[in-house]
Amino acid sequence: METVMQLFLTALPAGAIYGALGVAYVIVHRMTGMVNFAVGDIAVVGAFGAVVASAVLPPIGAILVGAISAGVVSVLMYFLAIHPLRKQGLMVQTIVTLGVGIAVRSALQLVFGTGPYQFAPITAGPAIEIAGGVIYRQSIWVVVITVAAYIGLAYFFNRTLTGKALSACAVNRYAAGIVGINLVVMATIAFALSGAVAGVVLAAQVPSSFITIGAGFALGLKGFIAAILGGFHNIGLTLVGGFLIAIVETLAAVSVFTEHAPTIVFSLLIVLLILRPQGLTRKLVAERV
Amino acid sequence: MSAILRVSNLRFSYGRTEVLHGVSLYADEGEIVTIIGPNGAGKSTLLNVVARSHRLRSGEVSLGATDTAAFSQAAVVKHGCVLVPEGRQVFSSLTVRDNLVLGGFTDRRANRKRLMEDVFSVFPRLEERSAQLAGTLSGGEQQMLAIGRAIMSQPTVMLLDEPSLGLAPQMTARIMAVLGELRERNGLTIVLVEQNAHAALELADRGYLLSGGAMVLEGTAEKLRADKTIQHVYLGASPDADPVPATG
Amino acid sequence: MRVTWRTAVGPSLWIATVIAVSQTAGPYLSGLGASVAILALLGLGMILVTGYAGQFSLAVGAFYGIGAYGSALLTINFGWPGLLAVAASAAIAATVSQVLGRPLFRLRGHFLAMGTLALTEVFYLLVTNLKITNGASGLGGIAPLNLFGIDLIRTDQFFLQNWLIVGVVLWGCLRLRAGREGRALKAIRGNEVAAAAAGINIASSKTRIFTASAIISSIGGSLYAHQVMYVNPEPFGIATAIDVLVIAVLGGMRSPWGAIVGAIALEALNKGIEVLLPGVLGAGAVGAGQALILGILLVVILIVRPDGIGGAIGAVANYFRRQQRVNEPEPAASRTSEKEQPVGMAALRLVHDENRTGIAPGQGQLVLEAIGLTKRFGGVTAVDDVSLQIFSGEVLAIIGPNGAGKSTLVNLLSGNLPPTEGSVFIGGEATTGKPAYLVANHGLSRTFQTAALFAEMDVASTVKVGAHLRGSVGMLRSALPTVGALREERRLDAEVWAVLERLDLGHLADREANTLSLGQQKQIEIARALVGRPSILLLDEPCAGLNKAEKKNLMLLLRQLGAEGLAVLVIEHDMEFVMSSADRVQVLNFGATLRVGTPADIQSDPSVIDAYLGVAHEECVPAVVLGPEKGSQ
Repeated sequence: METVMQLFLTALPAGAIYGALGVAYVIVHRMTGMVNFAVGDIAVVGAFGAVVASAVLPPIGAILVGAISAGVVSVLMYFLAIHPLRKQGLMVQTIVTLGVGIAVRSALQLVFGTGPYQFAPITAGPAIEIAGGVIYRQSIWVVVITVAAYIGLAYFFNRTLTGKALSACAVNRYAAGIVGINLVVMATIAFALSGAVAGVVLAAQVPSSFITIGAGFALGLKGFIAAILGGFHNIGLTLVGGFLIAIVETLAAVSVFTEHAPTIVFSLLIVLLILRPQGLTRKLVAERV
Repeated sequence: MSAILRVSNLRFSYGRTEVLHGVSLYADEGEIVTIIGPNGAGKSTLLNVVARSHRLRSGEVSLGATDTAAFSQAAVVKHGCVLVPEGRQVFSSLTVRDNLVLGGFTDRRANRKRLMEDVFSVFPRLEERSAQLAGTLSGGEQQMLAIGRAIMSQPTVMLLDEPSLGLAPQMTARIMAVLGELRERNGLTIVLVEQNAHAALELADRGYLLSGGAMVLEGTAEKLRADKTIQHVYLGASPDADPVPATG
Repeated sequence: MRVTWRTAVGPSLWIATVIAVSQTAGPYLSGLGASVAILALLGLGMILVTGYAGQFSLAVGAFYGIGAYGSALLTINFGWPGLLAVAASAAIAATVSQVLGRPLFRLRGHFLAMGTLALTEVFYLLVTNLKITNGASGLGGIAPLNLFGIDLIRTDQFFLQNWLIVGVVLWGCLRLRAGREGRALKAIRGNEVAAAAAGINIASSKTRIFTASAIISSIGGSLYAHQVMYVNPEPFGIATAIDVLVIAVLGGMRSPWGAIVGAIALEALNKGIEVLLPGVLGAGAVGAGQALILGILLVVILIVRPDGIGGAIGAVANYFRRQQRVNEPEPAASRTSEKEQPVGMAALRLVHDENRTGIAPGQGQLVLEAIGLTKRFGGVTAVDDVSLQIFSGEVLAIIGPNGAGKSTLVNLLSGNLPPTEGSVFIGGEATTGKPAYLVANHGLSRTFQTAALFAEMDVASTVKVGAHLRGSVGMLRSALPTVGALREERRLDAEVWAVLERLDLGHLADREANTLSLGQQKQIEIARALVGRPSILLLDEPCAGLNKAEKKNLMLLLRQLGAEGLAVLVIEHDMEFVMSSADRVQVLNFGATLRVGTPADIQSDPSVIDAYLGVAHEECVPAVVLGPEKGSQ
């Protein structure tokens, strides 16, 4: 019982991060149909934005700065690299995001080096014990921020006019234009939201462990698995997917396969794509139409 | 009296193929003008250029006294000119209500609730189905929704592209009746592109016959109804008799 | 391809250059050159998948590693001879690519990219953590390759060996591009729907080229292992996959030459950075600086020059070629537009049919039968219980007002859409629900409402794609042409020319199909459909964009095809054309059959006139208010 609870408490914040990155994929994919390979590195931008801001701001302010910096980089990427290629195929747009990811990662490395960074937690104090398991106070904040982001996004997409317009673009671009929705504005919003969601959650995680430049790649792949589980469409299921990945990862780490935990998780990506590309949803978005 | 919509010498090409060869037309306030003609004549292209779904490259389009040359698609809608596109083009995986809400996208301060009630009073069926996904509606209901969505932008000019497409005569008649009603009630100006010439000429004040990318006939609805050219253009009943442009 | 002395010039030149360089360059340069050759080899593998087939794969790291570790483990642990280890590793790579390729190619492109990225990462993690691969420390003591009793251990030998292999693969890639399989891949990249309609099995073609690429990458890995004689995980991760991607993008994806140009350019760039950067940012910045420049390069090249350096060179060459052509006399324009026959279409048909000697219309055999076809999209029934029959030797026209379901019906017949209900038989065999490429195998060819041609392909090749099912040369024989393969190409060329001449398109053969006028594009589609020698031809609005003279010629062509025994189904709005070209007309309205009959019957049928021109209001319901109670539409 004790280990089950600990498993759950370890997987919860990790799953929140994977889920948030998955959501970042989903938002951009719904709007543009493309997969943004730079999501992991943009999240790292958010974490480092927070690290820098933590020198002058309290942790909560630093995390907000992290969200904003990731959002800004994401929008810049749209205007500098993706918008100019809008007439090219999806393949070219996808390759270019890979290039952006590498450029962002190595630029950060030139500035910050490869070492780990950290800043103070929002609420100081020892880890909390819940039903025999232990969880950091900051990890609770990670989960809270993720849930808040989810509620905010759900409200945005389902209740606000702009959010509905964003969904409308995904459903029928021609008709969206007909009713006067500007596709460039909507894409900008989608990229900003995508970057901010990934950035804020990863920034919130920094105090409970640390952040390195190289973290983006693995996080990006795990976020992608979460997005597959969410059918590349459903934000709630993507978060659930993130949590499931974290469970698998934690289980593998405590089992006999300790050193193979990442291998098992990434193999899951391939297995899912082959056997169940629709993830936890019923409809297949990934299938070619 | 100056026209509320005026199109002058409009040309349009897909790649190297010119499909509109200098088309002109006008519509006065509160008028119902129809553009009829066989398929491939360029009717849809014409409306899409006016609504700026296609770029305006050559020719002029003005709304009232305003030249729309520099207008974006959204600006045209804001200026009161809205398109009900061919094949309805509703947001199939959104609800009927959300489709309507999005119709009013360009005017955030509008009283959306009142506008929606207005739409529901014209199309009570939409109210019953307001929570349903638009893609599950029948063809006729989707057409109602497309028109309702257009009403939400509070237009002065409504461009309709083949609203009768795929609809049974009964439903076509109803849609036509609603268009007449909208003109009476809201003073709406309507430009109606139709292949179904009888239904359109029944409703319209004036009409144009577009064939092969050019206007070949223009005149009052009565005059067009009596003209033999139309049957030739549509059914090719008289071989090689090129439609003679009537002066009017 | 004609086998002449010219054919041998390129390869001989390549071999001579490689030998000359290997003998003159010092150990450092030839060693560097040998490793560039391996990168070029990997680049060729990527261009096959990403450039030829348009599929973005990052699996190169894994397959490269399978080759290297395969060679290492098999020679060290089992004492296999080097060449056998190379072959066995390639076989493993091929198997993995087959297992992975089929399901992944069902998905949209970028899912393949992510799947293959994960594959490379999984491979990297495995060799880092497994005991058998000795983890991060790697495996040493790999035996060199032994050819004819000589151990290959010197860098000039590596250089010679590697660049000769690159030469063979490059030659194969160039041959493949000109052959049947390469054409099929290019067609897939250009337009998948049209490619399937020509009978190309898309998933299979993609998987096979993926496998070819895996084998090439694996051989590259084996060469690496036998030459460095030591392997560790580092060179087989994502970084290498991205390097190879940059090589392909930098050099250009459209031609295999891009891999050679790109590999050399990347190496030069990296060496340049190693020299310059420490002075600017300090020695520690080299790795990150190289990566930064790589990333920015990828973005900038895609925006500025998506076809890479190779594409730029090609564009310059084309410019000069065009300059040359301007001086040549312009070939005579289409004959048809020159002399317009002053006769009406109907009269023309009468003249044609009097001279007709083939099967009398309606007397032929049943070629295609559809029973009770229904298609629903959500709440809309597009096709509603339609049955039809087409006999050999007749032209059947399907007409009906816009939105009557005509195009949907054609898509149901050709396998582009599965029907909700009902069945289709071609030549007595059920084809219901079969995918388009299998339906094409039953002798059905079609054209599309909006011309579906292949991007960046000339007219002759576009039409030749239509002959895909008339050839049988596979991927290997396309790449290494045998006498039979060459003979087949020549036969197909002849058939393509015959059809082009028949449609008076010969003078356009080397023009890029997508740049031609709409009317010409529609005719090219017909040519592509005819060259497959179908038993039934479906034409979706063939008259769009045609002028009057061209329409007359098309009408005569349809009459001739009918007389030759072909079954033709045509959807068209131009009534004059329909009435003069068809033997029978089937009218659709609201997705259902309204009437079937001869053209004369149809033209005088009041219900048809109503369907087209509409019914006046007074004759139907006097509807004023739209009440909810009047439900049905």
